[in-house]
Amino acid sequence: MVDGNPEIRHPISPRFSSRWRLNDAMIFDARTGFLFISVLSLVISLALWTVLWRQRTLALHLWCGGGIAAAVSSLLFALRAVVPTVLGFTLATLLAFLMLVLKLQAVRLALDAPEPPSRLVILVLAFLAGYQSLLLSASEPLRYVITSVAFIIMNTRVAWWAWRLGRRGGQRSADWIAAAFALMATMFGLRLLSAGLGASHPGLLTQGYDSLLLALTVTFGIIVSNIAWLGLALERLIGAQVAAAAAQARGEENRLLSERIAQLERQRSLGLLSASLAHELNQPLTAILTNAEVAQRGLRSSDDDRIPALALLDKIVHNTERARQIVEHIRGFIRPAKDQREPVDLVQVILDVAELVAAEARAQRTDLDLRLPQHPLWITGDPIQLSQIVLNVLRNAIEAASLGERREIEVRLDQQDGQARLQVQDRGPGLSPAALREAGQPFFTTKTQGLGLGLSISRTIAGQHGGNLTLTNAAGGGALAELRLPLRALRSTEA
Amino acid sequence: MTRNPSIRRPITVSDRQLAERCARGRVVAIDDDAEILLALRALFELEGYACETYDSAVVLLQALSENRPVFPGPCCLLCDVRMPQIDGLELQRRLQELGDVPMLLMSGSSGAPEAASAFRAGALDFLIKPIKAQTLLDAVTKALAVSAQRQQQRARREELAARFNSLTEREREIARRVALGQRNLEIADALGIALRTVKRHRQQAMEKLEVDTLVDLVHVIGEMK
Repeated sequence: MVDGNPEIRHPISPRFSSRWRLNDAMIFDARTGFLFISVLSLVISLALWTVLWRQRTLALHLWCGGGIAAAVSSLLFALRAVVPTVLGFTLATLLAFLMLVLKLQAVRLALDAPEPPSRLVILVLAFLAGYQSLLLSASEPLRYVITSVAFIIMNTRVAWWAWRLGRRGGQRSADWIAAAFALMATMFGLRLLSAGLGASHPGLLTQGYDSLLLALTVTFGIIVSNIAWLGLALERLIGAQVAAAAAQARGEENRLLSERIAQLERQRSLGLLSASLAHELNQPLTAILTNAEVAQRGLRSSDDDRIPALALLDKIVHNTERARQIVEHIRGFIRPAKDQREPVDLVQVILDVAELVAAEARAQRTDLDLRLPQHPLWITGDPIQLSQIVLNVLRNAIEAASLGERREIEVRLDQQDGQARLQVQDRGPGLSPAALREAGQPFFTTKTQGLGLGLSISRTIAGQHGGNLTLTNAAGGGALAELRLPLRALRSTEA
Repeated sequence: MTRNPSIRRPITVSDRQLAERCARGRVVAIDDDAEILLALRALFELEGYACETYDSAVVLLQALSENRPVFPGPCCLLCDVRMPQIDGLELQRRLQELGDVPMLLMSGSSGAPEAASAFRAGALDFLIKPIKAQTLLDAVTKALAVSAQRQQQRARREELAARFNSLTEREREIARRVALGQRNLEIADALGIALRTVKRHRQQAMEKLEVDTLVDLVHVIGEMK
């Protein structure tokens, strides 16, 4: 593809016939080779373009566009004798150079390291200017040497970047592109060497072994590099599919893991309440035992009308029911969430959780002031997950209240703009600016025995329910947690 | 307890019964759980004790501040350690200022620190809920015995104080010197009075203090210090 000289219209110039004897014999006409290369390049480029059309990447367009440029260039080289000089020399060589520039850019794009387009334009224009000036002023061998060197450099660059693509991107097909272009660079080097040694004519359209070598090398290069490009595209496609599958698997794993973490957190937060829950459970048991023993003692004594046995039994039944309800609450809270969406009465959720923390609040001598609406507030969600949010918020508030002067917590629930709004405000010391900023980040905690997951999990759950959970400092002092959840569109008739 | 502090009213049968129960023992129970209070009351009344229940220490302190009259008899306090507003331990500290009613503490948990501080504050016993009736009654019996003993001691001290106050200044002075081991002659010299006068005052003081021997006199004067 390196240039020829204007006199090539007379390929075997009489002046040189004695010097390049080796090439005197007509072995292979370079023009035949260029014609073949032109057709091959055109067909392969179009085929590749069609096959990979769905990708529509810039790299593909540049690569195939380079192929088309090579086809036109080769055609012009072949027809150099019958077309004007500006086509047969200038345009043909320029297109050949452009082909290398485009392929280089395509490879670099595939590597996500494209050269700035302005530099490419300048490079092409500089080549054009240099070549044109050489065409007008310099001797034919000098022009041949300079253009050859330019093409060797460009082929080497393509090979180098393709090799880097193979290394860095882990796409082995790129190695074949590198091999093809390295081969072409070597071929130009050998031609230059043989011309320098006087073994061949320093021109493009020769008819000896060098033209055969050129044709074979370029043919091989075109076939290998294009197949390699196709391979590259397929590799990337498979890579993308594998990545997508891996991402899906990871997502699934994450979901399971976060569900598990959420449940562990639920169990942990209940565990932290266990002392007060044990006390809570102990109360009805104490009442049951004492009542039962009173009945026993009374019945053992001679005059059994001293005790109201029936009333005692009623009390025993009543207290057993109390104990059962506490156990039921605990069990309801620690069983795995079903992650189902069902109509949930937020008022009931809050009442249930308030029962759970009531003992803890009493132990901390904190008043829970519940201001809930008289009617149910229906939202859609998972009752267990929702109660987890409420428990977290209430527990935090009880803990904060114990640090303050006034140990009271206000729990307000109302509806606003189609949303249920739960506000939990304590009269504790409030949050420091740093804590406000960091609160809700996983593993951020201000407590010595905290994991820092409660708020982050609560936020995630609120988000999954289409709502949000915010934490601010209240105007009247203390921290204010606000949970907003969308109300059910249709007010349920269960209300 | 009678709910009528000021005016006298006729004594009814139920008052008499209550007085009998109170004489046997009065248990003041405090717990934030109404069901437990009801059960405790049933138990103590079955056993013939009087029982008052309060759902918080604050209510009890209010009731105490009203100074209602009570029937005489031993009294003890049975109180849960963990309650809103004032917990059992704090209540105990306050009650010690009011008078020494023996206290029994109950707790839902067997927390060692709770128990330790309960005993340090002077609780007679620390009971873990749920409490067996026999355990509870034993503890109450013991506490009431302690209460009775303390009341007796106090009654005796009050009586002695009354007798001691009936002495004249001179008699008191001479009795004190006698208790210090001074002989009649020494006392007469020190006070500048006749030996016979000393003997008469000493005789009168012993009569008023209702003691027969010198040893008893020394005891009484020692207790009055």
